Amino acid sequence: MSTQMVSEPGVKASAASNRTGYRSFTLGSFNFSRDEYFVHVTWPAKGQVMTHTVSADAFLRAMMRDVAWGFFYGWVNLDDVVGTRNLYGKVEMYAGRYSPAYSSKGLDLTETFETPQIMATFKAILDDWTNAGFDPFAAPAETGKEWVGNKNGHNREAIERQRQACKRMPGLPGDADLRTDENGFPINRAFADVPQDAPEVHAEPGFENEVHAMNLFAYLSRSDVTWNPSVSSVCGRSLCCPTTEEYILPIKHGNDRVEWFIQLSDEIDWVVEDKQTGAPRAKVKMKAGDVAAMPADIRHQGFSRKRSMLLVWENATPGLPEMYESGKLKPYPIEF
Amino acid sequence: MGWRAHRYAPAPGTLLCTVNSVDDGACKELRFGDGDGMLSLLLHRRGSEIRAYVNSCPHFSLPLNSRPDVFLLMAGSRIMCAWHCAVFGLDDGRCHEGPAQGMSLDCVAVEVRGDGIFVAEPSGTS
Repeated sequence: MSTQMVSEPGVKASAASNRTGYRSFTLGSFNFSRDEYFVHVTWPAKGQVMTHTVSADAFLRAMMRDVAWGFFYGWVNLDDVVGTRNLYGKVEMYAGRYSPAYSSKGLDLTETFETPQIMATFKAILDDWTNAGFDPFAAPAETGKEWVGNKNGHNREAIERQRQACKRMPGLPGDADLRTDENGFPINRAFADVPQDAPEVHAEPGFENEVHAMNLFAYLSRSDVTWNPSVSSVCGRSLCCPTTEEYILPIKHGNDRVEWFIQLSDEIDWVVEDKQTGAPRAKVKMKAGDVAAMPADIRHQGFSRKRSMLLVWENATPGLPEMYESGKLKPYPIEF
Repeated sequence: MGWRAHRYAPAPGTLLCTVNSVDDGACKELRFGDGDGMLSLLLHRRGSEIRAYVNSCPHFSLPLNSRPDVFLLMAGSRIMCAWHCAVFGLDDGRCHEGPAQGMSLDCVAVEVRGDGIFVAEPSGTS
């Protein structure tokens, strides 16, 4: 028995800036600050202070996903330079590590943190830097421009949204609810034409509690977030995580396993890059009905000009990352 | 489906382990069966009190630990799922923070007799 006690050190934050009202945050050797338009990340390297500047809306959208996904599987690149890697118990924060322009000159930095510490810091940053009226989960057309400017209140209702998950499938007794107007999930403006009927289930006697069906299109038409998969069926280690996408996936997800994408409606353009270097690997246009397997050695970012429906199929088998890293499994599921 | 319906679920009255084999304040993993279909249970001891849960996070239905028998415990008898940071109270199994918020670990009824921890009878039976 080797229980690991994890500590929860306090978040290191400055006083609010007299000029902008925002606080600055320190995580290990990294420093995060923001102003009217930009987030600035700094880290030490070779006796100097490296600086990296990101538009504040893009940074908040990216960090929102990292927090909501609990650092997800593998790498969450907040952009081309900074990001996190989930070590499943600890989390790496890096700057420049997967950007050859930095790493080849020793100007990158990677530090490892207890998960509660980095999570608490990221949540505090989101809380302080997300102004009232700006929802980092929403498409730009559905939220305000209040991310611009000096500090102006909070939007905790948006950033603390409960992530939807199910034990087997939404709608089963004792499981997650289906989405309805009544429980706060109106049909999204882009999916007004999606039929809302429900499937009829006629089970053989004795199997009434073993058969279930739901209208997945109707369920997705009521999604209130973008680029935020929710678990909608669980079968062993097979997880179906459908989601609705609009504008740009705020992060570049570096896979630690193969992810299957099934485009359920409309289109998404994917930019696929080498996970380590960011070198271009492929551009993929997925139309409704297309299926793609994102390899385990890439990072990917999607672009959806109209809100679309995507089913992400995850293999949650423990130990998969090690099998890919050791070469026991190839990074792609089939060879042509 | 309750945990008792699992094909490897230990029967009522089964001796799981001794109290002393669980360090005070710590967790211990017990596995039943093999492979993907195995049943993993989580025991937590605080003094003389034992809590037991199915070792499966309701977020992604993954075990709470990424390495065998290694759990991430936090102050206040809380446990963090190693995969995506859901935090559960070990007193009641409820998730208070993270992606499984509002959901709970499946409780496993156990009883302590002497130095042994046994699977309890289902409630409503003698």
